[in-house]
Amino acid sequence: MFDEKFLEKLREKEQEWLETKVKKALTKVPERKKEFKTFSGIPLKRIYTPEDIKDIDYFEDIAFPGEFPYTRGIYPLMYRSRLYTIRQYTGWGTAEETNKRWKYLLAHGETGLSAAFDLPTQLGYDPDHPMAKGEVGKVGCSMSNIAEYELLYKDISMDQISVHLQVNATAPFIVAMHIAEGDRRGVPRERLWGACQNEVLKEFVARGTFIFPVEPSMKLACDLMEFCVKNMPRWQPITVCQYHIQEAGADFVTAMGLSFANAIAYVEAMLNRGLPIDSFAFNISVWNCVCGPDFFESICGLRAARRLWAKIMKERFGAKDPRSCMMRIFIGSGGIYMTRVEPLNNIVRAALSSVAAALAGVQAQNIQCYDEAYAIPTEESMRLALRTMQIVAYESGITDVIDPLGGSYFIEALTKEIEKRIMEIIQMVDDEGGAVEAIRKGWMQRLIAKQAYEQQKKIESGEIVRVGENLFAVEKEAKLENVFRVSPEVEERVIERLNKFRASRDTKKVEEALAKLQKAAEKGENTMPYIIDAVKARATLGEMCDTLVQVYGRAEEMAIW
Amino acid sequence: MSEKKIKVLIAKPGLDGHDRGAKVVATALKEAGMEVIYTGRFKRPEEIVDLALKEKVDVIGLSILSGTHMHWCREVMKRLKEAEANIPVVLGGIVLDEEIPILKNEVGIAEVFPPGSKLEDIVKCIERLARERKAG
Repeated sequence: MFDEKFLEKLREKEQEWLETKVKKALTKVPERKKEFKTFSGIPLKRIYTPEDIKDIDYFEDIAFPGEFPYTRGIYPLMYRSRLYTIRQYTGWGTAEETNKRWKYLLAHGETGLSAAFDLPTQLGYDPDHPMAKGEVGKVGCSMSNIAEYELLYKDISMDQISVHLQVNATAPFIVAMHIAEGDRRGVPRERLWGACQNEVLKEFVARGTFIFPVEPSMKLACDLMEFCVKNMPRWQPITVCQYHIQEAGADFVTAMGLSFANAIAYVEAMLNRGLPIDSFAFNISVWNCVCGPDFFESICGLRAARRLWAKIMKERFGAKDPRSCMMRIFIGSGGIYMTRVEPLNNIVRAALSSVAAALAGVQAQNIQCYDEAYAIPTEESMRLALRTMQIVAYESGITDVIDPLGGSYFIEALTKEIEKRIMEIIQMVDDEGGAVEAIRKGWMQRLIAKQAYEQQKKIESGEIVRVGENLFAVEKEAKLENVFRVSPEVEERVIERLNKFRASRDTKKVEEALAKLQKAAEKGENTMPYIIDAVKARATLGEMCDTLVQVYGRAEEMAIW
Repeated sequence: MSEKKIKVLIAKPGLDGHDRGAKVVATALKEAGMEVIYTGRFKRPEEIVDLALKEKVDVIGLSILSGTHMHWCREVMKRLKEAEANIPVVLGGIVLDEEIPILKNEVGIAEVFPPGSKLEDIVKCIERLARERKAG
């Protein structure tokens, strides 16, 4: 970016500055730390200058917003025309409670929905299954059949407001309910607006809601993706998740590298189905990432990921449509960084995360609520998180100029360094035989567990600072007055309703639909049309899931540490 | 003659998928010289108790972050009592302060470690519980 004569002068001047100013300053007050590093361990220099970005080509590496490789953002106008979507991960109890909370958030200016389902729903158990006992409605909304789904969406548009359904192993069933409810209302499938997570690979290495073994899990994920890209252009049928891998213990860069490897595995699986890259790439390019705790590493890391995704789609997979190269990013601030002591401090942590995400040019935000280390959020803590994002988006002026940090010597140098490091991790996974193989061997799991332990040691030694917890710690007891608790009555109510639902349906129709689903799975057909039929025949989530378990078996928990 | 290693079972009952804490604690205990068995996720209380008895562990550590700890702790303790097993149980997870006395005094959990707990303290606690148990 600079001519050699200028750089020579710069080096001279820098040397002069070091020998005079810096040397003297160091004798007076030394630097706070021997080494300064990012959260992922990338060494940080004292200062960055044009020297650090001399090899960066503005047109090739940075370019303009809306232009390849999208470092500065995927849209030409970014937040000047449309702000990022604010969607808080929300759900508890039954469909009615969740519907009410959704409406509350929408009434307060939330611009998109994000659905939290309880663990039985995420693991394919109906609420009356013995494994579901005690878990119903606890960490999300219970969802076992189409009648419940109708209640969930009561008075909420399916094509005017977008939703993100946080389901993975059971995504085909829940999306089928979404489609069936749309059909019932007369919303054309091509109008249904939203996304589902459907990211099964990271469930094996991080989050834990897997049901079937790895290969059939991939098959079902691809069935859903293929069905959606062919029938639902406004639906993103997968959200690639860096988020949960970092939450499980990996640092930002490692988590990003591993999720790139997972994303590559999905792309390859779709190509293996004979689908041309440009027929699906855009729809599967939504990513869920952590933004925080390291402010600049998050910003640069997300910029780097966007650029690298564009390059991989173009160079590795031969995408020609520019839209295939556009990574859209949905962030969260990371629950693991929210402390239990002095919980109100978490408001500041989440706000920083929202600022970083705005500076990184993301498409959607969800930030953690301050009571994260206590329970799922109260209405009040939810509203506060929503207001935090709104203050950043509407009040602060941060969103008025596109990629305002772009061009900073430090930002561009760190973006480049992170990109390089992500590529190294992708290479490591490629060398292991790709993501599926690396997961089957437990390679990814071991790497994440190792980093989780190292991180904990750093927290306890104070190398990773957590104000109030390991620095300036005063309070011994953690107190929060208003903590959310789901009433045990929810479980009874939802089971009672499920019993009524089962009693009111035509059992023969259910059995027929499930038999057809089983046959389709055995023959290797795309299961989606059969799942939708089963949902409409009023089969429950547990019944559909059990049907497929009969064909595919259940995954063994690997317990690698 | 060297002292017999302390044997610990780290278990995750129920459907909670968050296993970061369980694995980190398992590693810390192992580094402290203990023998550690980690069950993995999705275990039923009876499976946990059966394994603890079979492996003759000194202490059981439960890890639950989905807010269902009251339910699962009661279930595990009930089954231990039925088996007349005197194995101390500790719990790590998202537990409220006001629940701690209930867990300790009513449910019978020996110690509770909420978020922010130190590995060093967990190790010390387990060493103490194992020692006390041996002393009878």
